[in-house]
Amino acid sequence: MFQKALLPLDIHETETEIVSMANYINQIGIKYLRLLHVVSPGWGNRKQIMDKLNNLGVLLHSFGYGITIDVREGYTPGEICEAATENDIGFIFLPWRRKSKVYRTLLGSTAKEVVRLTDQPVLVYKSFPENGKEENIYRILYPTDLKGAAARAVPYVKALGKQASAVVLLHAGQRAADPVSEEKRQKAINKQMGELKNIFSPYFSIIESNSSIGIPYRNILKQVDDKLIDLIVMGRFNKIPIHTIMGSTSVRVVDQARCSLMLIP
Amino acid sequence: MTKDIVFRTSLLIVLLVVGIGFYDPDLLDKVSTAVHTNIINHFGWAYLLSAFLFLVFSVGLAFSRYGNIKLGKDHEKPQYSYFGWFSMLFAAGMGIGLIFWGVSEPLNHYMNPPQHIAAGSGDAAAFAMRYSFFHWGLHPWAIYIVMSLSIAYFSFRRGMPPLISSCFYPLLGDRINGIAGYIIDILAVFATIFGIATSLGLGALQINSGLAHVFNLPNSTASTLVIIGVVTVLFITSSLTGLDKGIQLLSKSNMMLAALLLIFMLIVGPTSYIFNVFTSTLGEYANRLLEMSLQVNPFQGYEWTKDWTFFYWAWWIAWSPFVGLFVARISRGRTIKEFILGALLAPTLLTFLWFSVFGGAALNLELQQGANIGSAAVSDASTALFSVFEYYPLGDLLSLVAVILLLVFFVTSADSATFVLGMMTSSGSLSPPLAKKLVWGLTESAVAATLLLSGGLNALQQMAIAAALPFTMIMLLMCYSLLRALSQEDRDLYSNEKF
Repeated sequence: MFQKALLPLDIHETETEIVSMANYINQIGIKYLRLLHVVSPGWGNRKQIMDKLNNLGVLLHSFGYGITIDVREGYTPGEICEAATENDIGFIFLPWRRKSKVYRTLLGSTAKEVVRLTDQPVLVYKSFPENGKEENIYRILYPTDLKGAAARAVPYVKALGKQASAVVLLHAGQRAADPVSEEKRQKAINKQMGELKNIFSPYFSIIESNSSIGIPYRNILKQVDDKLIDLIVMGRFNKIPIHTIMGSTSVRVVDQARCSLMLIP
Repeated sequence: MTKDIVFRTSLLIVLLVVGIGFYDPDLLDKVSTAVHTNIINHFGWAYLLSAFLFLVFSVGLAFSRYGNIKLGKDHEKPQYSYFGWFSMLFAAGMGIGLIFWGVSEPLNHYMNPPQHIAAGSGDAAAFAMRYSFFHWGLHPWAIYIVMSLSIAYFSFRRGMPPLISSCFYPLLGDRINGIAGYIIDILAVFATIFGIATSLGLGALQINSGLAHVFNLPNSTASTLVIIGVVTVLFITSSLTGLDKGIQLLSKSNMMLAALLLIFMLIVGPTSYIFNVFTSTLGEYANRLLEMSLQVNPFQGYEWTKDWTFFYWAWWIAWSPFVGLFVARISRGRTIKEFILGALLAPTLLTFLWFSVFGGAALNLELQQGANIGSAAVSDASTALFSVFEYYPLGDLLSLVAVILLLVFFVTSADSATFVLGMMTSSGSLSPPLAKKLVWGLTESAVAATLLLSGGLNALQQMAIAAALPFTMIMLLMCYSLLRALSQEDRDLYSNEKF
């Protein structure tokens, strides 16, 4: 599951950033990295690009990773998704570049586009050195609506139990239409969250379970701040047409969460 | 104590406003005019958009997969027959207004259309009929449907008290039993009491005009007060006998009387002309429904739109808590589809027929026979109907029948309003205490009489319309809340993904 990862680079990464990424990936247990750079058709000096990628590959190799280098031409998010599919990649590791809201609104974000387009798991790596936090994966947040999409993330959460010590389970749902149904709903959720706790108990020493009502992405972001979460692991919530216009929960969390996150399609 | 918060607070606010209206009617007029003018000037477009959305929402819901959900438990049957249900729907929703405006609205539009249409022309007549259909057609009923459907669903299907605040449980949770819920319910009481008091006052004036016309009674404030007194005794008596007996009996008998009047006018009047008016206006209405629904006339005729369409839309929205609660109460056991199509189509078609018969007859007199009744209708809308009757055989008898219709529709409206106010201020009890009904019944009449004396009726009407703006927001949220509840039920019914 965590053997092979695709790492798209824009070759402007500093050595510190690469080291930081390498350390982070190391915690997950990656053995093999495919470095990818996408150039716009007709642009870029191939030789220079290959040289830079080779240098970065050498640096990453020193951490013990097997390295393959890939340079493609085309629409960056589309090429990233295609490379991931073609090469039987475990997940795409996407470094998140902070950009201003105006920039994001006008030019969009490659990471958000990849999240929207791909059918592969994606790990969006967000670094916040100013927080003074070590970039270790101690506390994982697993948001769930107790449905199929969220259930697909369960094996990934279990696998991360080797590294993380605590998992926070968050049920993000909507209130029932009347008090009696709401009481029934709460009871059913408590029961299912209890079952989920049992599933994770062999993998984590600390398991916390919470339930929330309201807009899911807001509740997820609140938990990230309140519980000092290091990594969110979430299934991509079922898509409905309105999400195309308003943005899905996953895309909003990608955009606004102040920690890394792994999205399982 | 909390049980009576809505009752006490709303009664206090009502008495306060009426007190101001009695001691300083100019102040009330100044404030209400400022609020009303600003709302109509700045948010008229919002009323149009919302009303159109409510219509789309209602039709969409009727034909969606939620259409088969019952407003009650699955085994329940409708409490009232179709005739009883339609009669009460019609009586509570618009009966009184149709008698008042059936003749005078088409004549008003014909004499004073927007500036891009020549007054008194054939185009003006077609416009007058089309817009009379529009103002009294599908949109008002769609507004009522949104309100009543939500209340009926959350009350009868979900077992919550029949209150407007109950519809917000999916969004607010237990906060509906706190300040947020109280504000919604108090606002509903506020709109209902001011709306019904205004109607009572203005209706009493029209009854007085009718009686003056038939019996040469003095058209004075004293006789209007006597009429209010008589109506009060009648509707309080009806209200205290309970919904099933009082309102149903009065509504059914009044519907029959109205039907007789309609048939008489249709046969004695220019029958084929009336059918021509009905058919062509129906065609134009259907053809231009979308255009009229969203037509604000920003370039020409904006003042006309403000005076008529915005006013009507605000008025229907302000009335919706009262009509919505009442219609919900009588619709238990019907499916969503049956409820929406019944409440949308039956009263609308009857209204169209009414306008075609009375408006068509009036336009026929004005256009074909040279009767000069248009200017009379513009100067005093309450006498227009009686002016038309003068040209018909048994004119005095017809006027008397119209006065009786007015009186009974008033009694049924005030009776329903008293019941609804009692319900809203008794935590949604379907059998509100008699004392509360009595308090609200007397308050309605006292407010109407007091403001009739001080000249603050117009200000009161403006206050009622001002309440429409927050209610528009409330109703938009209501649509969302209802959809959420229905989709949840849908999930529970049709999928295996249960909690």
